[in-house]
Amino acid sequence: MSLFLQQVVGGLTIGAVYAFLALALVFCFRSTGVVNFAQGEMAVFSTYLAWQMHAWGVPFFLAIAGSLGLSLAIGAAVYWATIRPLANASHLAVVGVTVGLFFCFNSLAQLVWGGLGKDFPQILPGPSWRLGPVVIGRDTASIFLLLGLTLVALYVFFEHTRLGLGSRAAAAAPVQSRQAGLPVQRLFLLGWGVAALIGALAGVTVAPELGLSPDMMLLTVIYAFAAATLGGFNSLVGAVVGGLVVGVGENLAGTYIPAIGGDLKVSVALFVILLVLLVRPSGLFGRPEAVRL
Amino acid sequence: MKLLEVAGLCAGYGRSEVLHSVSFDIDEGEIVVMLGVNGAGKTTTLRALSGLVDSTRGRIVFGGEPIRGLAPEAVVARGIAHVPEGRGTFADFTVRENLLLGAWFRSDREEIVRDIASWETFFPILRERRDQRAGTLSGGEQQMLAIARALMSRPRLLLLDEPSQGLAPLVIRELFGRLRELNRERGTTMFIVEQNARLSLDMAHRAYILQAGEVATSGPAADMRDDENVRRAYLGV
Amino acid sequence: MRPVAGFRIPGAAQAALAAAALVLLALAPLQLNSYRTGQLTSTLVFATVLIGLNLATGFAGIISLGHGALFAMGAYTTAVLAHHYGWPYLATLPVAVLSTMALGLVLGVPTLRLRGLYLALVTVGVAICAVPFFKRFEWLGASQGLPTPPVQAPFGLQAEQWVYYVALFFAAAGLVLARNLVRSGVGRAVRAASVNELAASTYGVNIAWYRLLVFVISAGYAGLAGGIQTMHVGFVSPDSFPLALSLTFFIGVVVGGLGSVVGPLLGAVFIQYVPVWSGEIDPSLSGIVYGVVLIVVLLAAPEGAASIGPRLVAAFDKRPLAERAEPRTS
Repeated sequence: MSLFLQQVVGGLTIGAVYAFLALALVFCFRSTGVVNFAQGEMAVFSTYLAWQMHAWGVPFFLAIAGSLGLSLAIGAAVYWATIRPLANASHLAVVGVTVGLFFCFNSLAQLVWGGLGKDFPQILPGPSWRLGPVVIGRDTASIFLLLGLTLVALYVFFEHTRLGLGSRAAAAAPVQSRQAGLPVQRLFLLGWGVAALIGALAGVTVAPELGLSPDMMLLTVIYAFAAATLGGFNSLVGAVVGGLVVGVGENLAGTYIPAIGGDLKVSVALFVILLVLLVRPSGLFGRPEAVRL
Repeated sequence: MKLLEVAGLCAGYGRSEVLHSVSFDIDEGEIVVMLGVNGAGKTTTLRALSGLVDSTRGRIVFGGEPIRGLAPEAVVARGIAHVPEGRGTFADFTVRENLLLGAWFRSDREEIVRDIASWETFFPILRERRDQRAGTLSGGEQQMLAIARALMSRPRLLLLDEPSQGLAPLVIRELFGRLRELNRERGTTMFIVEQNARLSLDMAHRAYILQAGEVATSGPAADMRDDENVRRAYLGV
Repeated sequence: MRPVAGFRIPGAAQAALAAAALVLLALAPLQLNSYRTGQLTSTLVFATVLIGLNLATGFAGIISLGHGALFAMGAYTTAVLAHHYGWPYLATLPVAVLSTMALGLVLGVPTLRLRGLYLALVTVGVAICAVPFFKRFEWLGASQGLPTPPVQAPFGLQAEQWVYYVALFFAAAGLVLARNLVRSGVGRAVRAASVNELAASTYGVNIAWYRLLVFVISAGYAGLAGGIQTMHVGFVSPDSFPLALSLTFFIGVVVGGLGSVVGPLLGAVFIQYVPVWSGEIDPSLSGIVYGVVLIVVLLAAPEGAASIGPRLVAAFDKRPLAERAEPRTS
């Protein structure tokens, strides 16, 4: 029984990683209408920036804050240079560009910092906690804490602020929003910047657990994708729930179903997604809006 | 000084020019209607005013200031609100959110709340359906929502693109009645392009007729409505 | 999926150009060394996949990020027949096509109901599962894969040259077939459906059936190409078919130009040579260079490389829009 619980906790932990990146993906989509395949790689790059600043002697939390700020700028700049020019082009061209960004950021990290893993300091250093039969590490706790805080903050942003409302409208109906007087381009700039910031936050939170390397989030983006889809690509809460479900599901499947070894675990996640989509095409929490691609 | 003066406006899409030197003006407090058949260039005219379509030549002067070439956001900020063809409501957002979007660039929170209450009174259906998704409203209700949303920006000039489109005659009658009331009670200046000649000429003060991208004739609306020759020649009525 | 704005070269000129290209390509291996010929063969194999993928994505709007797995299916079919049963290579190709089409059918039936993003995700799933799947079966060579017998080249050709001509033949035939398909009734129905499904369905077009058909056909292309690939490299192994391969195919059709005839060819050249070229500049920079080139190409030509020609022509055409002939597809 204790193995089961431990597996569930382990699944929740890795699920939280997926959920955090899924949050960034969904936020980007909801505020700009674009699915950014490079979200994970940009997050890793930002994490490296934090690491580098810390390695140069900057106090840890200042380094993180600096990285978040830089990510905001980088996200906005990337939008301006590579996505905005394609405003009238087919969505597939935009997808292609984000794939190109994927290669760029991944290779850049590889080039500057090398392929070997680096240690990343814990956010909340200290011993693990015991909850009955289950051990909860500090890393796990900090991931959940930050994930929860971010979710609440984003939810409030979208549902209860003017900026959030404007972002949603701009992404859902850019032409109309422009007609109605919304500064659509500026809203998209903000959207990409904040999405990159969330990615950076995800990166610094999970790096202590996963170990910082250029490929740290290589497969994660696929899981995050699956999680976001499961939750219905429009729902922040759905992304988080989706991530946790995917994490727990694949962990349990990998442990208890012998045919599914470590390398096929991801197929479990995607198989579940397929089943869900066949039954509920807009995901568990999604509303039946059109998801463009 | 006229509220809006347009002189020699040429505009179009890419290489094809739709408007060939269009001139008209609007006084504060007027309802002006621009009539014409499909393809005459009515929608293009409104879009050129709003900055949604590039104009190549001509002058657009609003409140004494030239506005040709401004971005749509800037035009809205100057006080021109555009209700596009097909309503342009944000279908996936609630009625209330639509109204809030109309007032998006305003920062006076209390006044915004007051305005919402005011328009909900003027169009009671909006209060009834406040939390409903706009896409679930009927055509007529969406049109009223679209107008209310445009009014939320407290515009000096309201542009309406074929507000009667897709609506039943009874609904059109009611809608135009409300518009006339709006103009009378609050002095809202309106520029309406329409295909439906009869009802709109009843409501307007002056009318222009657009034909193949040019202003063919103009005059007091009542005269146009009563002049059979004009109606037959230009409107096929 | 918007087809690329077309510029119609008169039919006779088109045929002449194609013939000239074919002649050049036919003479190539006699001039080039074995390594360069091999690269061209690879390009032709990729082109074959892309022609099929273009039918699915460019014309029917089916976003497949899993064609690498279909490619693998064809490759493994040929390998198994050649290795375990000693079949001559050319005989294995029809079987590769059929087996891959069957796989396409099995995959397509449940998934083609999905749209856009969701369909893409499921195809990603299929692509990811390919490698672990192949690794599990001893009969398929497990992790090591299967070696295949050397190619017996007829007519006194070198093996490399013979494989090249096989690839060239099937790429050309595939191109002609695709072109005819697009112009046929089926092609028109599919394109109509991808633009406006509701309208198409009112004409009695059974969209689901047509989408499945196009997908299965594109699977056939991938399977054929896979079989030729096995001929070319002389073995199959699971690690040859990672997710990256499927993504590369996708990039190939997008960069080349969706919905155009020539697009897949340009795309194949891109995905074959740009990585090689960027690796030659500096191995550690190759990822960045590839990414940058990809982004720049898409920014310059969002509708793909195939649209550059027509766009240049249009830019120089001073006649008003109404007077120009305006064909929407090639």
